[in-house]
Order: sequence, then structure tokens, then C-alpha cells
Amino acid sequence: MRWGMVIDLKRCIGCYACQLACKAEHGTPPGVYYARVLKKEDGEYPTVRQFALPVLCNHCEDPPCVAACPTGASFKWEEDGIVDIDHDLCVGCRSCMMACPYTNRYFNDQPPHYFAQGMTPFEQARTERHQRNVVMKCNFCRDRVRAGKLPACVANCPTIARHFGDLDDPSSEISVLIKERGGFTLHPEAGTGPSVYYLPP
Amino acid sequence: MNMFSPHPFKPAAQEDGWLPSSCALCYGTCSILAHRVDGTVIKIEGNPDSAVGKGRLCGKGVSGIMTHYDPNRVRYPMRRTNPKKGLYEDPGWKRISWTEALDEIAEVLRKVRADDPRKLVVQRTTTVTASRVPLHAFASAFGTPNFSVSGGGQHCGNGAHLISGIMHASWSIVPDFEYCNYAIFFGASKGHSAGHASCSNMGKAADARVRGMKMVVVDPLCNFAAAKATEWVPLRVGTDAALALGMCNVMVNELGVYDGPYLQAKTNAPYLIGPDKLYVRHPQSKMPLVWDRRSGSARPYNDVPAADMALEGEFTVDRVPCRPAFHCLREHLRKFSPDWTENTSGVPAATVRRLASEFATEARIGSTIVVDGVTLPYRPVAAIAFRGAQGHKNSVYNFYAVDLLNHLVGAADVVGGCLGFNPTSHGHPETGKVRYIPTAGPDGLMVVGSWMGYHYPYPPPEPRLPKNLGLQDLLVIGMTSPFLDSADREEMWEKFDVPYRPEVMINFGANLVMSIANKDAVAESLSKYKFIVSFDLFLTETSNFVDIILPDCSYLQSLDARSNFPFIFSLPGGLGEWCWPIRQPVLPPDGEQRQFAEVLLELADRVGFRADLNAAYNAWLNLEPPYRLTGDTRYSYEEISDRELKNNFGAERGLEWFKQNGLIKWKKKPEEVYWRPFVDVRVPIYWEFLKPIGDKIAAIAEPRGFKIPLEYYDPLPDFLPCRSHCCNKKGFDFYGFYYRDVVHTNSFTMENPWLDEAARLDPFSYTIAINRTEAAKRGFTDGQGVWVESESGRKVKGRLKLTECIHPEGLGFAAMCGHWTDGQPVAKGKGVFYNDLLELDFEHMSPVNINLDLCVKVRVTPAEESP
Amino acid sequence: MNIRWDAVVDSTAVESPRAPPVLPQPIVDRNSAGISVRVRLFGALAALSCQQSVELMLPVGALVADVIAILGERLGEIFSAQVVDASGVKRRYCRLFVAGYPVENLQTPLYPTSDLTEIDIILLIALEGG
Repeated sequence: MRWGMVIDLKRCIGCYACQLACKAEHGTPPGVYYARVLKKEDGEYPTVRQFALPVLCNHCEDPPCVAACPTGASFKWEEDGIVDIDHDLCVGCRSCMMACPYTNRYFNDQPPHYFAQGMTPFEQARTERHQRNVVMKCNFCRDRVRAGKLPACVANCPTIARHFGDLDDPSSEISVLIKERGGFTLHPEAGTGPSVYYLPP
Repeated sequence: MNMFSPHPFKPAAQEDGWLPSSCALCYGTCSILAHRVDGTVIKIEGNPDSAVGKGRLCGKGVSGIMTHYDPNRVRYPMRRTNPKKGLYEDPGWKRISWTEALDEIAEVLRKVRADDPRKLVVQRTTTVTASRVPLHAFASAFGTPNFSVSGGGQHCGNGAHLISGIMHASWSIVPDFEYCNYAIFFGASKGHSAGHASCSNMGKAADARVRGMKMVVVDPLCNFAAAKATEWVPLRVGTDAALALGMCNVMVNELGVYDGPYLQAKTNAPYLIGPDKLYVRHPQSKMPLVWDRRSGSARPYNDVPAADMALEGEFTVDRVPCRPAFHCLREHLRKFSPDWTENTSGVPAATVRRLASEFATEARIGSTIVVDGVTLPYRPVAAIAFRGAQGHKNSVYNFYAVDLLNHLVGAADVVGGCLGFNPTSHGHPETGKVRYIPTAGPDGLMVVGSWMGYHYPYPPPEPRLPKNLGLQDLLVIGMTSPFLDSADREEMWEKFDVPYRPEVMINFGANLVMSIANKDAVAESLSKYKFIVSFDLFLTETSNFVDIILPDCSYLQSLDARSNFPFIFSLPGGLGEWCWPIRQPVLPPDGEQRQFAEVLLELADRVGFRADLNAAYNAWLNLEPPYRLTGDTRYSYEEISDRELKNNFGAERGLEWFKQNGLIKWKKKPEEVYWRPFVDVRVPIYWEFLKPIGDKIAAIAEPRGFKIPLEYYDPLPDFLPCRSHCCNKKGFDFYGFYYRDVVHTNSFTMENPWLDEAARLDPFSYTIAINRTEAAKRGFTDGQGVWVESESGRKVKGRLKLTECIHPEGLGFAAMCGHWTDGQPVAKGKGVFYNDLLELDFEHMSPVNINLDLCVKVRVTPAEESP
Repeated sequence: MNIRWDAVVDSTAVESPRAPPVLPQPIVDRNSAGISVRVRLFGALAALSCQQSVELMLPVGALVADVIAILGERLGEIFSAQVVDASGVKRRYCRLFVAGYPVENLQTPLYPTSDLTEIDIILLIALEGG
């Protein structure tokens, strides 16, 4: 069993709902986005297009961040392939951030509130619990997934561009999509074996 | 005395629950599930049970938590202590009690009502759809016709909704995403950004895209819809009519392709037009005549089988030479040659021909398809428009010319074509309530079955010497009016001897100073009011003109029995389900926040017109016995809501049932969605009714020195240039315009820190987009601060974003930002306040539907960096 | 299969809800010599005509239109101009309710009952946007 995600760039419209649903789900502090949307334009007027690329931790098969971590805080769950961080062990050295070819790890060095006046009740409930001066990243909403739900970004995407499933199962929805639509990963040359695939726009 | 009706929030029996309710970050009003744990909302998700959003939410919807919990929210009633009102004048807010606040407000209202109730202006923000009935009921009961929706309508609706109403009996138009094969979007991003049924349309549009629907987007900016388009067609700002009419000409006159049977049966194309440009009518019955080819004579339109009606030819009726309307249209279209189109819009002539040919071919005129066992006409093409195309002086013709493409090929409210949002409903299968259908009105033309009010798009009322401050009873094609705040309003009111002036305003949530036009014009108007009371979530720029601020409940603290009705407004169009969700409080009020609807009921009690308010609610909600409100009984808003629900859905389905279930839904039928073949109504491809209206308006207005440019009231559409197109001032070589941003709603959401954060990460949000080549020519660099100046000398400052994704003459401003109020510290200083470039007077609006002309010819100069 | 647009019109597929609603049959008083009516005006109508409530007695067979005509005579142009247009048709934004049920067609007959027939009239002015 290896959890993986497929993001259909044909469907995606770059609306940021995934980035924001993730923030709402995890209460990540300012400056930390487990999910982000990158945008790029391509071409010359008038033959141009804009691309939106939602990115998140790729939960690599061979994660360089895990290899780089000196304390064992970054680790991979054997049973499902999710790459996670034990914040009790993280000392904030950020070696993992340097090792990650996708820059999808974030260092939490901000106070746990967005408003100058301090924490809102939401932040007290959901943001304050995150440890400070540690590295944070997407964990494929492991708690939701183990409860039988989809990751927040997948469940919420208004264009239904995101899919989630078992990459080890050739008949799973995502395996079929990858095969039929020519799914690709980012920076395959880095050789990390990402679990996040993209379908062409 | 306990003056407060109990807030309908009840503490949870369980500490961890998901409650169904409705979002209010934009007027899309998607259904939500709010997760509340130990009294705190920790997540908002879509409600998979609902047709509105189908379990998903846009970025704004999931971020609502931070708008609700913003510590800058107003929590107590406040009164100004500084009598001086000004844009930068500190009101000196002092906290007061509800008793004090309502005592004073009631006293003011009592005096106004006794003097002249029309001196009250009631205003709301369109963002909260459910605010419509309580505020309209209040205004109707009070006795004032003067209603405003601030920028809504003047910017985005007077055109779009007028024409969608006349031609499709709905508020908006959208491609039939499920079946359309070829869609052309003119200045619209349905399904890719914002707008009515925005989130639901995103899923549908994505399905269409994957299915292979070709989407052509005509827009000066390649963003949102255009970014995903199969083809982006850049054009000069505000010239949508030019391209659309050019395409119509190619279709009709070069290709000779149009749906004759549709035009014969469903439009006024066969109606005979005389030399005076009006219908030739039967002398006794006054019915418009058509030429019956079988009998070789002119007969009333409802006496002749459609197949026998002539669409072309020169005829004589009682010595009057006449031609069918289609003939007139056809001849009229000839002047919009592809070369002329290229000259005017910048779209190459070859492209005009190709688009027209693709559209006409894929329309598959004459074909049918079977859907759910029902055989229906099949026209898998759609041309739609929205805010961009109609936000110009040529508002009516711009939008209408685009829709004309649909009617020429019969792609209107049939499978695959251009659909209105739910123009027909057979009602709830058990109770039959909320049932409506378009009907045939004067001259057989379509009258809507459902509308947001009673000022229907057709037939327009008779113009008269205006008594309404907005002058809509004179300029009757207009809906919302800039004249409430325009720089020339006093001049107009004097010209027409309007016998009173606005003195008091009740504002719900709108930020007029930012949402209409330049802040000085609006400020000047607001400073003339004797008293303004405003229900707000936050202090806004407009608060500087308010006397008493009342702390409003957010959507998470509010009850609304009809969050998503009328169905023409924001229920997704096309096949699927009818859905009636409610909004229920998930959290208690904070501080002394109160629901505005309850406060209005209390004010009516204090002022003494509760019986009128009850009668108004009965009328607006169509309450029938036994649920009708009687006498002057002091029903609470909860009780009224309960009655409305039972009235519509049966005695067992009152408020408690809806609080449990969140919504009621039932399946749509193909005959409802694709209603056009089943309803015997016609739409005008020749707007004959416009000419006499124009003449009547001129007859009233011109003797009083108000010139009406009658070329805008011609029955046939034309390209009439905006002021920006006529500007030849040296150095003013860009057309400024603003566009909706997917993470923002009007000027409301910049205060939300999650949305602000997303916007700051986005390359376009908060910036002024400029063509990279044009910028380079002038030595501008990416991120450079510039001044943008209008031809009348108004200036705004912003940061440039150099891009290939914009027409060389375009200057695109993201959303409506540039807040300066201290009441919204997150919003303050972000982005550019585009509206400050806009003039607010008759010269800068459509003379027909009084939609503001939103494009401006500007000059761009470098700004010094701020220290 | 080509189908003509006019051939598809099938009114049974879509019944019009605009047929005048069947007012629930009131308990008709056959001994009544006339129809007792109380008209209540609300909002702008009440303010402009300075009348909240008018009681009338009408002959059997009277129509709603007769009530409007009488009120027009009593209250003047200020009333009738808002309620009906030049051809005597009720204005759309003028909502009229007989015994609590909406009436669109003024040619609707009234029925003699032992009670008062309540008629409510209110103007719903509404110009919208969004």
C-alpha cells in the first residue's frame, strides 16, 4: 500500500481552494503552506497560456529529506508510504529543507496567529498546537485518511482535479489515470520517486 | 423589558458536530458544513448533499473562518461623537447601548416617515443574497421606493441581468456545460473564477473541458477562463459588440447559416416593421402583423403557423411598406464587415470569419437529441457574456450582440446551448410551491416567471416624470441607479422637480465609498445625508459617513430561511437537482452582535409599522394561510422563517426540520432545464419596444434640458464607442479596466488574512497588468510603482506586473482593493483602488440601462518609490 | 430527425402556474344582501393616501376590480396610478391578496360570506442588482 495523489492539470484552474482548504484543515501558521499553487505564463502575446501548478510534499519513495535528517524526526511510514515528521525529535536544523528538491518543507518561525491582536479561537484550537522552530510539511492528511476520508485538498477541489489512492494497486483510480492520461512527476531526474503525479493540461 | 428576541443559536447538545448551513463570502452562497468542536468552528467544508457546490468550496469559502473570527469585527453599537463627516475625518466612535442606538434610530425614522417616507434610502450589499427580502420588506413597509445595492448592478448587472432576463428569463447565462461542444466567453469567467454559481460551475466547466468542449475566450486579459481556453482572442477593451456583430454578419450574410424555424417560432423575427422602425399592427387588435406566405397577406402573429411566416421580403400592408424584422436585422448587419470588425476591435478579419464559421457549423442547426427519454433540439454551441462585456457605455448592445449569436442558431435553452440559470421550475413535487414559468407578454414577447423583484426586464414600465431618486421611473430600462450618488444627481433632481431629497440611509454591509466610483463623488453624496445607520461586520471607508454603526452577525451566526432563492440567481443551471438550503447559526453572537433582520423587525415595532412589515413579508415571501403573518403580531425572524419553510414545503418541514437536514432537494426534469421548445413565448431579435421608450423618455427629459442620445435606443444593436474609445489625449494610450479575482469578492475579502496571503503569493493579485512589450517600450520594469491617471485627472498608484497575457492597449487591475481604513488593518494598503478613476455622472454610464462605463483611457507614469 | 420548434410546444408538458389560483371556496352566505369588504393598505399606499383601512359594502357579483375602482374614486389618482396601469390591469409590483391569497387578475369575483372579506394591498417597489 502506497498512498499517492494525482493532480489533473487539465481540470485545475489555479483557484487556490486546495491551498486554503489545507490551511483551514491544519491551521498552519503564517508562512507555512503544506499545499501551494504556483503560476507561470508561457508563450508570447497573443499565443500565451497561463499554467497553474498545485504543489505539495511528494512523499517520495526514496525521500532525501529522511536521509538528511540527523535526528530521525523525518521518517517514512512503512505501512502506507507517507513521509512524516515527528516534531518532538525535530531540532530545526533544516537539513531536510536543503535536501528536498521540491522546496516543499517550511520552517515554522512565526507566531501562531495572523492578526496583530493575537490568536483567534480557531488559532487557539488549531494553530497553537504546532511546535515552533521546527520544520513542517504536508502529511497527506494522515489522520483523515486513516479515518477513511480523503485529504482535505482532494476532498475540496471545486474542479475535482485531485485524486488520491493506492499507487501499489494497478486497478485503483489513480493508477488507471496515470496510465491512461500519461501521468508524470516533477523533477524525475532527482530520482526520489515522487508519489504525486500530474496529468497534462 | 427584554427587548431582544432570543438569538436562534442554541448551544450544542454534542461537543463535536457538523452543521449544514450556507456560505456568504460571495453571492454564490454555496452550501457548507461547519465543524464545531467545543464551541469553536475549526473547519468549513462543502456539503456533498447540496447541489450548490456539491460538497466543495472555493478558496474564499474555506477561509470564512478567518473572516468570522477577525478581532477587528465590530462588536458593539457605536455612535459618532465628531459631527464632521469626511473621508479622512475621525468619527470619534463611542460605544453606546442597543437601547440608545435604537431609540435614536427609531426617532429619526419616525420623523422621516411622517414627513416623507421616500427620504429614506435602503441599501444592501449583494454579497448576502438572503438580505434581500428583509431589507426590501422593510423598504416596502416603510413606504420608500429608493433602494440601492451599492456597486452591484451598476457595475455588473444592469446589462447582464437585463438581457439575460429579456432573452432567457433568467438572471445570468451559462453554457450547457454538460453537452456544449463550442463555447465562446465574452468578458466572462463562468466556471473559472467568480460569479453566480461560481463553485458549482467550476466542476461543470472542468468536466466539459475534459470531455473536449472547445472554449474560446474573448477578453483583453488572458487570466482565469482565458488561461484555460482552447483559444484566447484578445480584443480592444470594450469592443465586444464589434466582434459579436461581426460574427453575426458573417453567419447570416456570408455563410447564410441561421435557424429559420427557431426564428419563425420563437422570436419576433417575422414581425413586420414599418418605415418608422415599429411593428406594423392590426388596426383593431393592435397585434403585430406577420406576412403569411400561404395566403399572401399580413395577419396577426398568433393567427399564422410559424412555418408560413416570412422572414424576408418587401411587403406592403395598407399602403405601408414593411419588412420582417429579420430582414431589417440582416441588412443592418452588413455594415459590420470583418474588416470593420478588425479595425474596431483588433481581432483579425480572418479570425472573425473562422470563429463565426466554427460557431455556425457546430451549432448543428436542425438536429435533436434524446435526454432522459425526452427528444429535444440539440445546439451544442453557446456564446455567453458577463461583467466584462456589459461594463461599458454600450452595455446593452455589447451584451445583447453576444446573445444574438445564440438566437440566430437556435442555441437558447436547449441541449448544449446557452442556458439561463433555471428560468423554469415546476415546483416542489409534493407542494407545488416555488413554481414559475415564463409567459407571453405584450406582443407575444417573453415575461420572466421569476425575478429578484417586480421591476421586470420586460415589459418595461411607462416612463414618467421621475419621483424616485434613482430616476429609474424615467430611465425605465435601468435597474440599479448611479443617480443616488452621482456628481450630477442634484442637477437631475432639480431638472425634474423631484420633490424631496434623501435624508436618511439604512445600509447593510455595503462599502459605497469603494464600490461605486471615485470616492470624492460618493463622499460628497453621503455627507449630505442627515443620518446614516449601518449594519457592518467591520468598519469600512464608508463608516466615516455613518452616524450609528450596528454590529452585525456573520453568516456563521445568522439564520436565513432562503439563502439560495430565487433559483435564477445562484442555483447552478443545467440538469441536476433543485435545491433549497438554509443558513443556520453555528456560533453565538460575540459581544452585542445582533442579526440585522431581527433589528429591522424591532425598529418597525418601535416606529409603529409592524402591520405594514408583516404585510410586506407576506407579499415578498408569498405566504398563504395558515402561514400568513396577521395583524401587527410581533413575529420573530425565526418564526417568519419557520412559516416560510412550511408554506413552501409542508407542515412537517419547518425550521427544525431544515436545521436537521440542511436543505431539501428534488430532481430537475429535462422539460424544466430545456424549457424553450415547450413554452409558447418569443424573444426579440429586434428590440422594437426600445424605440418608443426612448422617444417617451426624450419627450419628458428634453424639455427640461436633459438630452437623451437616441442612437442607444435603436431597435437594432450597434457598436457605440465608450468615452475611452474617443479619447485622443496625447500620452493616454492604455485602456484601464478591472477584473474579478478568484480569491476576492468586491472590496470585502482583503481583510481576510488567508485570502490576503494567497493573493500576495499570486503573480497578478494586487497588481496592474501591462503588456510586456508595451512596458519595455516605455522603460517600465516588473514590479515598478506607477501612477495611472485618467483623462479627467484622477490618479491611482500601483505596482506593474509585466505579462504577455494582456492586449497591448490594456491595463488590467486585479479586483477592487486599495483600502485605507484603519478598521481593516489586513486589507489596508493592499492593491489598487481602481474605482477612483471612474467619473460618476450621466456621461459615464449607458444612457439606456444606466450601467456604469467601467473602462478609462489612462496615462501611466513612473511613481517615486515610497520611503 | 428534424423537429420544428413550434411543433414541440406541448403545454401539457409544462403547465402554467399563472392560471389564477383557485381561491379556497369561502363559506358563502346565500342570505347575504351584499359583500362586506375591508381593504387594508400598507406602506407607501397608506402613506400617500393617508388611509390604513377602508370598509366597503359591495353588491353580490362584485369583482375585485370594482373595489379598486371605488377606492380610486375615494382616494384619487394617487391611489389608482400606483395600483393599475392605463388599461386597468394591475401593476406587477402591486401585490393584492383576497382572504390571504394572491390575486393577479382584477376580474376575479368576490363571494358573499358571513364574515368580512379582507383585501390587503401593498406596493413592492424593487430594483435589484448583483
